[in-house]
Amino acid sequence: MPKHLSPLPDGVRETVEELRGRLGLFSFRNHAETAGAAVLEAESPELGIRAGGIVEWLVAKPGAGAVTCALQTMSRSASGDGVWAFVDWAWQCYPPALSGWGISPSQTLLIRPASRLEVSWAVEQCLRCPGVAVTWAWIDQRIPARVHRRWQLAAETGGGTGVFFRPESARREPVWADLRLLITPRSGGQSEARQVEIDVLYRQGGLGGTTQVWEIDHAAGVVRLVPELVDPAIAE
Amino acid sequence: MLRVLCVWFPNWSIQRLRSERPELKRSELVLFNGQSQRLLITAFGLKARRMGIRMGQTLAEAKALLPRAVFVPDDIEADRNALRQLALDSQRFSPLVGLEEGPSPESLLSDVTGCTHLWGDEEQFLHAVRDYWIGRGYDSRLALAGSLGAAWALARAINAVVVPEGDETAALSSLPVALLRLPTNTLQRLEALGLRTILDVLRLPRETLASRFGAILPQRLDQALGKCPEIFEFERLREPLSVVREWEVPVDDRLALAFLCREMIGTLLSIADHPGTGLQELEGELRTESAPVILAIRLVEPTRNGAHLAQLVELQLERQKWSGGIIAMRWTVVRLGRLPQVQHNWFGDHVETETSQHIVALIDRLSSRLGAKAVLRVESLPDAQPEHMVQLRSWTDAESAERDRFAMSPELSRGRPFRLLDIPQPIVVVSVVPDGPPICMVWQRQDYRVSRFWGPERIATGWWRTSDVQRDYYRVEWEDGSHVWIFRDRRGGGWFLHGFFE
Repeated sequence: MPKHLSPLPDGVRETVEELRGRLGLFSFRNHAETAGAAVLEAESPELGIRAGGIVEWLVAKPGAGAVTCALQTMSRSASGDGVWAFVDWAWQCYPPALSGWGISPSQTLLIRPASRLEVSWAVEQCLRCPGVAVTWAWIDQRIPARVHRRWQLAAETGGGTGVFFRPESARREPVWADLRLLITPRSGGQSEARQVEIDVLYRQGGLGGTTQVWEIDHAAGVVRLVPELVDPAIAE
Repeated sequence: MLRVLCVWFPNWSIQRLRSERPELKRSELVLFNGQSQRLLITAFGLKARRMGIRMGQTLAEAKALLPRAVFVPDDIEADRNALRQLALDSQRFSPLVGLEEGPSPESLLSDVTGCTHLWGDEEQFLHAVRDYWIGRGYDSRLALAGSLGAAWALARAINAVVVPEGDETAALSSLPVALLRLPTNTLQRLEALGLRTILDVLRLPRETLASRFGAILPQRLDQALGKCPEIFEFERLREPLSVVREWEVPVDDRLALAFLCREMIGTLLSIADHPGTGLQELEGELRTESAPVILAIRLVEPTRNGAHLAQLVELQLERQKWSGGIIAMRWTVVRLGRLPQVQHNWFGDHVETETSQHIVALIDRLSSRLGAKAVLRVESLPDAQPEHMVQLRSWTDAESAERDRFAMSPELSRGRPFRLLDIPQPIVVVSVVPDGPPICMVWQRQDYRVSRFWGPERIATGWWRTSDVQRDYYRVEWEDGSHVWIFRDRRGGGWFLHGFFE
């Protein structure tokens, strides 16, 4: 077995995750990777998102499942007493779909600015407010660096998390978010659930470039990690 | 001696609608209660009555009987507010005018003691009042008597009658007992005993009335005959709370204007210094050398926080444009509100008070800059049609107590897309069998092969609306893995793309 694939001593992985959390760095908390039989059981994915950060989801195609994945991860990591602000420039957000994924529509604040110019102002206001746990926004335009920086500072001041959905073309723009993910839908699959591929394009503190496959089960209302096949070398 | 004038506006809700919407003047109007789940008729005109429409009938039944009528949901609050405005207008005849009691008042009551001699005598006064309402296009019935109860009854029974002092008993004797404003069960009991007129009741031994029919009957009798005083609440014109500043040299410096606004709001707060009262709605008028600029501030909750109000004004000033400078400024309090004793919580009990305060301030800021209609809360409705499943309401509107009552079950909710198109887009779908599930589709001139689908989920509803829907919905997975929500319109046979499972 190659040396770098040898199992880590007990507790080391937890310590690393804790240290990364203290530094405000994102990390996939994938306990299924740890070893042995747990690999066979798919676990719910987490992004390890810290409060006061920004996450960008780049969406390759419409209907890719980005909101569902983000909702599932954020509903676990966001603080329970804040509201969820949705800045809905396109006027297409459909609140009845939220309750199935653990978000009560009564805990949401829907903002529909009349112009694109107002979007960035509304996003900043929501990020800056300590009462808002998560600020969602669909951003299909190029955002100046100055605005990104303002959002960053606003999120740090407010202590909530910004979750932005952007087209895939935005990957050519500089990253201001703490985490940038690309979501691409996968066709088929053996189970009833649908599969999506999550590429970590950027992660604060490095270690981008990893890929995971998540499974969205509409019937059960869960998003889980699809376990990768174990390297035969490790299995031996 | 007390003299009371009653002006009754028969079918007030319909009269109000016709006065506000002149295009409905020639239409046959039928109103229904749009708030409850069962849509029942609440008001209608004479023609509708002749055609067999009656109170409490279902809307569907009424539509079948009178298909050409215009059916409008009633609005009790608007009716009351409009009547309240008429009460204020009616203060030209007496300073003490109020509305009758009850959930949907139709009458104005005026204490005209000492007022009638200004028009000559009581007859001339009554004619002046009647001519005034006719001139304004309202259908009204009037009566002037020595008690509220007598005036109320006579306005409905006789119209344009003046009852001299002390003649109430004679005037009321022949009238039906229903005009005593009695509850339905008391009226049914009287009817069962064959007591139809007020005289029939007056003939009964008075001491037995309370035990046989309840205390309300002798009380109403005494009130009608003027033996027992009856009070009603008067509508009062209130002095507007406003502050005005004028200056000779036009000011265009926005910083200076913001400072002036801050100072004027401080003055308004000191004027409206009633205990437990805060400002909830303000209007500012910035007079320029051309057209005035209007600023409107509406708050979710009343406040006495001057800095918060000044910040909202500054947010509006940033967006306003005007030519030249400002030569005068007026700030008026449109609505005061009671400051909550215990901080109200908008997001349920689990949200802490401090968080709630932050959110209320955020909503005020967003509403102030983006407009109240851009900052919305979600209220679930008991409707299966996806477009009508929720109502988005402004945060500055009154909150419904049951906003989550009709929320969907989680299982059903997960079958709904996060992105719903406002207008379903037509698509071309190929199926193996007629009316069968989709195999491939064309949307925006691009082909998409269907690899999997879930459904159909049949939604057939909205028959009470102008056009009902009958749709078979499918969640479809395209070959590239995207999930979309499509439906087949069972009435027209066409296919439509309605949303994306983002």
